[in-house]
Amino acid sequence: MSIRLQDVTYIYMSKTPYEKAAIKKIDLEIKQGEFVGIIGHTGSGKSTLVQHLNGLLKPSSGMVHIDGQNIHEKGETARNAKRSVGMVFQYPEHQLFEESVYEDIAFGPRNLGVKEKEIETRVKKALDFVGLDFEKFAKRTPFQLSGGQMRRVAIAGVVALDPKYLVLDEPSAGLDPRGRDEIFGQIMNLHQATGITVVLVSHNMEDVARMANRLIVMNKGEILLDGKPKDIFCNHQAQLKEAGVDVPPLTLLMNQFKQRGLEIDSAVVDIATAAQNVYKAVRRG
Amino acid sequence: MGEFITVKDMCHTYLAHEGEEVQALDHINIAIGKGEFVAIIGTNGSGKSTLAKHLNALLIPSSGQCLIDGMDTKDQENLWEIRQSVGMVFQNPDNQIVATLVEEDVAFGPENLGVPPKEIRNRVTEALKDVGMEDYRQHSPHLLSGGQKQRVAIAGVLAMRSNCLVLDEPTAMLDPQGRQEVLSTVLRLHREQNITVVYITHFMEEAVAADRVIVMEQGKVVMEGVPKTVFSQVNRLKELGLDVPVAAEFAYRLRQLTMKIPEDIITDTELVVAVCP
Ligand SMILES: Nc1ncnc2c1ncn2[C@@H]1O[C@H](COP(=O)(O)OP(=O)(O)OP(=O)(O)O)[C@@H](O)[C@H]1O
Ligand SMILES: Nc1ncnc2c1ncn2[C@@H]1O[C@H](COP(=O)(O)OP(=O)(O)O)[C@@H](O)[C@H]1O
Ligand SMILES: [Mg+2]
Ligand SMILES: [Mg+2]
Repeated sequence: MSIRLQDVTYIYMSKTPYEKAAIKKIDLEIKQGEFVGIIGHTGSGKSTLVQHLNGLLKPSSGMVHIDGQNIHEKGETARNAKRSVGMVFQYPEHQLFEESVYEDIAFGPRNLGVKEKEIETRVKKALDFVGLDFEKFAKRTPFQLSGGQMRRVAIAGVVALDPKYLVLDEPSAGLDPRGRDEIFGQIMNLHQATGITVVLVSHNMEDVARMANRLIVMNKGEILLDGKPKDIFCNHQAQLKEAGVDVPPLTLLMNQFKQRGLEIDSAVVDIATAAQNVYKAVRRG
Repeated sequence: MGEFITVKDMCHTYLAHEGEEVQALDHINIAIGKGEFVAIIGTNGSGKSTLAKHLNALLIPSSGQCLIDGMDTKDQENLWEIRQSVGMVFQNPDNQIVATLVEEDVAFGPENLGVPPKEIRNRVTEALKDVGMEDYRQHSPHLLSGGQKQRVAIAGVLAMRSNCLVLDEPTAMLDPQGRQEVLSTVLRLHREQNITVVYITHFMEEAVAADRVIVMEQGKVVMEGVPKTVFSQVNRLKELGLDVPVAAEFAYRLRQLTMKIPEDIITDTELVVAVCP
């Protein structure tokens, strides 16, 4: 079971002077149960790439299979394959359209034929997932919410679909620090509890490093690196720089300690462990 | 330093569904000096954007007062002067573009003000130079990176000759490099042209650059002070659902491990020097 891209190229404004190959000859297989992080400079093709995972964009050349099904064939099976992918867009307001928060989240499951009683349960669970109080928010109009609240409703709408593959394009933009931590925590829990496949596009290296078990670095429409996050952050810093990707702020800080002569393992992704390492190194002298 | 923004006992109530009221601002008092750089942080829904919209009279107070350079936002006759002196930059770079060329985009504001064409050309040149985008005059804004688009939006404000910039999460959609571009542009304008800046952000590392930080929660101002005072209160900020810069949290952890580290460390350099003198 997997999403598989074979030799996928996508060209925007094809056959015009503005023609732009946003991704080039991408071969990629995302297996069920993986947690894949995607990073890269703005314009490197991340959003274009993930929009192929649910057939939102059709490759200019190449093929996309979900669980063995070519998703650009006609018919019910291809449609169902696409539906197994839930996608949170980069701009959440593009995803909201109903009169109330409740209806907005209920729309997707209802379309999938979920029964009305089960829908209410799902809406409640989804709002809880994103840290919004049901009583307070269910009847509100999605367009009259704060930016971060809107983002949360957009995520809830996709979680309520209970997708097999969950794709999130910069989901933390506009979330406050606790909201970001809690929602990412929820995604981690969901991943661990249900084995849901997660694809996360993020500028926040720390989040990717902490959560993903596989990291893909995009550069100019191509996959530059594909491997374990720790390995990439520690051993490929030059290539990351070439791709215009910054290493996590914590890694930078640890590098500075190293330069001052502290003997520490800089390959850590959480502050608590990092502080312990520095403390021990200082005590050793 | 004279006061540029004075908010007195201001409340704002939105009418939501079925006549239900949402109190977004709850008796706010704020004074911001001419040429000051103030960062505003706070959880989702705490009222930051609502406050920002009062600063150029997109909203008017339900009660209390909002004065911009002494002008009351409630008085209709002040509207144009307030809108001209306070420029807004929002989160989504794509929603702010109005023209097909960068220079037309920057000229849009002054054109609406009826500024003569020759003067507009000068202003556009100057504004694009100020944000480091002079080479992109003839480019299509849609093909720029997010950071470049935001700098064009800032140039648009400068071309209006505004002396106050209100930025509502200008870097939320950007990658680290774009974020850096925008923040350093704003800092430079603040330093070199004495522009008053109100900067809303969820990135604590950005708020550290401000002269003063205001923390909002449920429509109220709950903390206020220079970055060092605010960000050294690690526990309090975490209770509020906020965060502190990496260095501040790192220092806090080291203190818990009984290391002697000064209380007011908020940057990497300060921390490294304190640990390895
Ligand atoms: N147009 C509106 N109509 C009704 N209520 C609104 C409207 N806009 C905002 N609100 C409510 O007012 C409160 C404050 O919203 P505001 O947008 O000012 O928050 P914020 O601090 O900017 O949050 P964020 O960090 O998510 O951007 C929230 O509870 C929000 O739901
Ligand atoms: N709708 C579009 N029309 C034309 N060009 C586009 C469009 N969307 C993206 N592009 C271009 O394709 C390239 C990749 O963009 P994108 O996939 O959005 O990158 P990322 O998500 O990594 O920032 C960029 O050069 C961008 O300008
Ligand atoms: Mg993108
Ligand atoms: Mg806001």
